[in-house]
Amino acid sequence: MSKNVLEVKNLSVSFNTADGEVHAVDNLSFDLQAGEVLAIVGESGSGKSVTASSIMGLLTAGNINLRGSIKLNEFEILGAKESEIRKLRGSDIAMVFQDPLSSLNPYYKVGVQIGEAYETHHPGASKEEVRNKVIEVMKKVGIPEPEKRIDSYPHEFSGGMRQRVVIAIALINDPKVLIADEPTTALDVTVQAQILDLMRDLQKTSNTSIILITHDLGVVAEMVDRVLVMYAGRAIEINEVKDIFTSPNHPYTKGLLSAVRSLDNGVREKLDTIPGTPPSLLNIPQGCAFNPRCSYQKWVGEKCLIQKPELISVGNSFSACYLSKADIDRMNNDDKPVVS
Amino acid sequence: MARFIVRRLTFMIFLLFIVSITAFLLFSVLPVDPASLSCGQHCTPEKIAANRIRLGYDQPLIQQYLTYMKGIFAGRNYGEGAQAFTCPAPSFGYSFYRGQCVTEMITNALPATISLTIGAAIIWLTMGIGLGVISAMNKGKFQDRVSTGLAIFGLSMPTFFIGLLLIYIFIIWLQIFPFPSYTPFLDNPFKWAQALILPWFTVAIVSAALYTRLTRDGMLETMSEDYVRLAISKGLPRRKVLVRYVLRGAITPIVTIAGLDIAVLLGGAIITESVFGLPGMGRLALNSVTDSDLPVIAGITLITAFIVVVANALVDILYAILDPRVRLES
Amino acid sequence: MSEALEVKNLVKTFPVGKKGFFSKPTGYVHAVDGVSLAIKSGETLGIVGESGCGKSTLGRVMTHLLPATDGQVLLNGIDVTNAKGEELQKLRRTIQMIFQDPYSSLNPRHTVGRIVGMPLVVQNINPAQGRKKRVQELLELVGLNPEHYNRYPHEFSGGQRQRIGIARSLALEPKIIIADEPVSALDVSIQAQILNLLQDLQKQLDLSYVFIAHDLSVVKHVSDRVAVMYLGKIVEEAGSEELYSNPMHPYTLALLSAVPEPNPEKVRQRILLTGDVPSPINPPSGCRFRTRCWRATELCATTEPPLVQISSNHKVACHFPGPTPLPN
Repeated sequence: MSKNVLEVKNLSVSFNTADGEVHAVDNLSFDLQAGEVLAIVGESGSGKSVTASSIMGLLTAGNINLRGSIKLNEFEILGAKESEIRKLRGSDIAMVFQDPLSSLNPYYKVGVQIGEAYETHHPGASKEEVRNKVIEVMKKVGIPEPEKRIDSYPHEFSGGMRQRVVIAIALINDPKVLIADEPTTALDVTVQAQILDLMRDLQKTSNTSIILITHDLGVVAEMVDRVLVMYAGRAIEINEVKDIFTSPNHPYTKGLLSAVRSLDNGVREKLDTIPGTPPSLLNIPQGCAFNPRCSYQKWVGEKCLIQKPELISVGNSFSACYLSKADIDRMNNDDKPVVS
Repeated sequence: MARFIVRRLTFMIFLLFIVSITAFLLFSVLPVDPASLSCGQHCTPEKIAANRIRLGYDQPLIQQYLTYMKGIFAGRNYGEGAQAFTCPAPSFGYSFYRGQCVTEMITNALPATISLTIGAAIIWLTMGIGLGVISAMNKGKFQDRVSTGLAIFGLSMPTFFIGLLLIYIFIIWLQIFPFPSYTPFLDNPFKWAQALILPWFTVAIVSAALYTRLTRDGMLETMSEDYVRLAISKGLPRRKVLVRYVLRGAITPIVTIAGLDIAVLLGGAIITESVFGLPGMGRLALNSVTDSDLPVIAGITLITAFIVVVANALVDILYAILDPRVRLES
Repeated sequence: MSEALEVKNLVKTFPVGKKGFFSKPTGYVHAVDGVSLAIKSGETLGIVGESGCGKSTLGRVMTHLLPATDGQVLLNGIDVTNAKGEELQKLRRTIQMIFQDPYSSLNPRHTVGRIVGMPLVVQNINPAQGRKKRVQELLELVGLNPEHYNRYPHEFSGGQRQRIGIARSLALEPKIIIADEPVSALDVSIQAQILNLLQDLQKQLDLSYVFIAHDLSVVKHVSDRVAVMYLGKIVEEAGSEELYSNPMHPYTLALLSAVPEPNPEKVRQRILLTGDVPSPINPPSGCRFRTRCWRATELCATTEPPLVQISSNHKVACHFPGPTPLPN
């Protein structure tokens, strides 16, 4: 059994706003093993980005309430001193954001920005050492002619190259955990393929654990080992990637899969959808947050409307739903779509 | 980059010519007769007519313009025979009222104005940007409201009011400073500073507000940018992020506006100079208007316009230096 | 069935860069470089390509939001390329557009009712039942509550805002709608809802769609025919089913293989294109795709392959079209 490099227990994040308290993350628990790739899947408002920010210790504003525990290799991040967390950022945990153009400082050369990540955590390093390290990592992420391009500005690169720079910044200090927040959503599909390939290769050679936040189930299928599905701030399913696609445990997961167009589907077939829209975080429905949109609620009954289901184990996986094992099998054999 | 600079400077020279023509035309349509103005004390119609010919005001406008422009590059001769004299290049004309070459009057007035402008600029930029940074970092909190409030308070006070107020407090009541009398820097730096310190703060208090606002807004906007988030995720210390990422992102518009503000002030801060009795361009301009001393007015107008045009060009070039994205000309 | 909308050899270039005192352009971006397409009445044509291929520009020229530099736009056989004034006003009643970003395509200061009713006001149309009633009909048609007539855009979700945009585009009862990436800014489950809505509306109102997208799976689902664009040119055009089962152009092959499949069991043979997309200011000579193509030869550098019909509903522009990726 591999060691847990990251342990999140009962994480709750809420924001005090003028319109009330927004519960972005509600009682979230999951583990990340060394060398594992975990996807966090969810739509807007699911809380996936807020989760990433809390792991990085970025939520420090006065109107944020944080509860629970986030342990990186036994070190507790929530409540730790800023100076302690700062040591981890960029060296033990690193992050890659969605839009590579806005993630890079337009006023400084690319080499400077990559080098900064190294210098911050190796304060005594000589200029030459830093430069060599930068060129080395640029080669690793596949940027051609690094000796020349080290002096280029971000706007002089194409989108795919920029994302490689961002990945270089993240990986230069060999982090234990890499959080990638929709790293390929802003890229063209052929470039996305290149970047995903790159991330897969790098992950294999360095055994970094990756948390991949995405809404693209195709990317999930190709890249990850396990999947955590979030809805309205809660974890509703945690499962191995193979099983999630063939036999999901939660109606929302099933609905999501049906809605995703696949190249195998017939042309101009009507798509399966989940009716309604994700709830506003100011007004989360009572009981299970998904119940207004769930076609299987009637198989369970009143319970869905009254009490929030906890994450319980179903075989090898976890699901926050009151459907019995038998009902889940029925659901997955149900050829009728979630909604017609 | 070099190509960009050359292009910009070429355009600037072109613009200077347009400015000079416009200024010249403006003066030629004024309802004032320069011949009679420069006539002196005892004027008769014959003398005015003679004056007109002597000074070349009977010539066609284009000729007058060319003579004037020639004067700027090569100096200009006045009078005949024994009373002939020359205003050396660059000659902006001759003040008959004062009996001085305009250029000499301007060069005498410039040091005070430059001293005032540069000193005030340093103070208002420090104050403005400083208060702006404090506001931005403490958004919504007490420090934010106080800083913004102070700045706006300064902005809403008329210049002469602040000037007189400072005179009252520091000179008359507290008697910390003597009555200001301008001493050139090279003569006595200490006295120079002493004479300028209250005028500096008068100008600065009024001007700082804009920069507080610009800095605060610019920083708040930059703070929410993705690249600032990434910088924090790299583990960079807070101060480094603040300066290299947040402030750097906000500073470009501040620099360009400051450049233009300074340029305009170099044309003379009329009110401040009058309140404090500084012998600068502002006071020169004011006096020459009250005296209807046309050549001096024309000269100051032209010089001020030139300064603004040049400043504009420099500011554009500075912007390109500061923002690498602007430089890219494929 | 005549062509509802046709473009012939359409060219759109943009000047770029400045040179000399009078800012002469240093080059031209050939955003659309000789595109010919036809859309039949009631049909959906999908245009797919990556950023910089010119598909959005093509859409805008079709809608007359941008003037064409060269070539023709024909509506029901009539040349409307240079339509101006009244003729253009009339044209707008036939061709409408749906935009990508539901957040920036609606004026935040206008109520929904005003937004959807604006085309009626601009065109001076007074429906028999009155403008307000008509707007409410439209809102209902797209699945929104007509009671929300007086609400502002920010009170709606992304998917609902896109419905508002669709309602607006239907106000003038157009026959042809150009949809420029209508679902890419939306969540997955909402995308499906909007795509279903568009299909329903097409049947109900007998609309023709030009569906522009970069997402190949989306395009497949809604289109009868698909055209693939690369650097301003059409490289392949075929019936939807035909294109996805029988791609011939190497770029199409690469695109199809690059799409991540939501199926962990499937073993993908992925074609990875090397290098970056060339600059549209200086496209490569001959075939534009040759710099990244594993089949490229001398011929590809000297001669541009024309778009030829290789079967009844399949056209390719390639010297070596073929279904299999020849490994290098």
